[in-house]
Amino acid sequence: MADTVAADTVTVAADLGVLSMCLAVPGRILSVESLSGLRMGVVDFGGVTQEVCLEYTPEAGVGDYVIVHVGIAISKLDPTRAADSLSTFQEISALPGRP
Amino acid sequence: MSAYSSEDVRDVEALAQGIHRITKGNWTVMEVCGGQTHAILKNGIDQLLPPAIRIVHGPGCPVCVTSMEVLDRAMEIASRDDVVLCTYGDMLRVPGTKTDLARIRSQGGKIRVIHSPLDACKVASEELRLGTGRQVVLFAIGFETTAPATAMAVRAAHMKSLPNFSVLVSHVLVPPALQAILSDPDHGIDGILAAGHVCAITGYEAYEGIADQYRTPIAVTGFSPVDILRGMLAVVTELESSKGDTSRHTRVINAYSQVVERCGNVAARRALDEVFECCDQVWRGMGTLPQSGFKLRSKYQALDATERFASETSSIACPALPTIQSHCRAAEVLKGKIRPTQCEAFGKECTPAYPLGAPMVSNEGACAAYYHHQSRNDPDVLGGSSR
Repeated sequence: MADTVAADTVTVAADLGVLSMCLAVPGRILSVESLSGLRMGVVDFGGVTQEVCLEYTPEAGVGDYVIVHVGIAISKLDPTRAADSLSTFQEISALPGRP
Repeated sequence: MSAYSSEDVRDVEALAQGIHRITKGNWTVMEVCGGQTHAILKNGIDQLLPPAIRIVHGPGCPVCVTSMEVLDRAMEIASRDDVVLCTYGDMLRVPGTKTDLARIRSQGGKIRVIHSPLDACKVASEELRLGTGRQVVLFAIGFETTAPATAMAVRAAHMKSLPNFSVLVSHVLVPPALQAILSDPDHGIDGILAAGHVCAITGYEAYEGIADQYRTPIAVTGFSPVDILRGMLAVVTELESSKGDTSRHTRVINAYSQVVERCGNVAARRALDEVFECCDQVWRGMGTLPQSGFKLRSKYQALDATERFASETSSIACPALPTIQSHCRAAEVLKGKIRPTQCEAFGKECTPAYPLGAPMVSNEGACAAYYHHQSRNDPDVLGGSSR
């Protein structure tokens, strides 16, 4: 599922142009290392790899998905929580409808 | 090429049906994120919704709300022979009062397009190593999503004691802008989709106060069609179920829980707090909003480009922008008062090639999004059947 999310967002990123600064894209961490005192990692965005700063996601390790914005991981993606919230909303939408 | 799986299509259909089924009232819902504007228009999400639901676009594009004063300051600094200005590609064509960064670059100004604020630190180290004597200035714009990356660059430059690095800070904060919009008695907004990646950093505690004070439900919302419809369903559900019930607390619903936690990103918030303090900030189209921006704390004041380049004059002569008699209604677009297509200049004298207002310049601006995507569904948008 996270792969689909990644592919989807990468497509949007391509639409907006690679220069866009507002977008955050999910990617999978391939490796983690310390560079000049910063926690850095190589992240795979659906086939394109990039060096990313992981200082703000100390809990994310190799194999985890992170949301990356302007070269910095801002959140660890938890696909199980997505599934949870979808089922919750399916319950919500079972509320009484139009008469 | 479609990036969507059959699961996504099924979820989109289920969510859209759910929204149709529960919608009884007429609701205006505002989103405040350029990425969402683009996704809504690109995927025709507005057309999946019942006609009773109207989406408007708020000040969700950081490029669009950057003040003229800051833009002019950046251009003044970029015009110096001894400066390399590092900024995001979106900024190059945004017009200031006299010119834009792209024109300055075409006259020999050294402007580097970066993908991360940390790139600016690398450029500064490299200039230092080569002994060019050049100053490197990071022109840092963006919402709370981007500010932690700027904070990271500031801390890295401070740690390395880079003598040739400074930063022109123009970060803006979403909650004060929402408050300003909702304080207008004529705002006409029933619900809000909050930008998921802003909330990934800040969390959504601040939004709970706003939702309750203005009795406007807010859904923290992501960026894919499924995410956006999930946010919409949450807001509409809240609106329908609280109708006529004044005793009820108006809630914030987290419809992007795979990414956002209520407290946000603790490490990033700590870095923001260490590097920045809140200040009043001018928003293009909205004026000065109290405590709606960031400035460097005194510990990092030596890295403030505004002070480092105070009262210096530029050394590169820049060609002026053509003067245009403008019918541009960007300010109303930014506040969600009108849709881009309601502006008389839209698609006529104002296009992405010749933008009058900032929302047409940036790819993520509402006007550019409508220009690029809505023409597909509505040929009238571009002024008739000639296209």
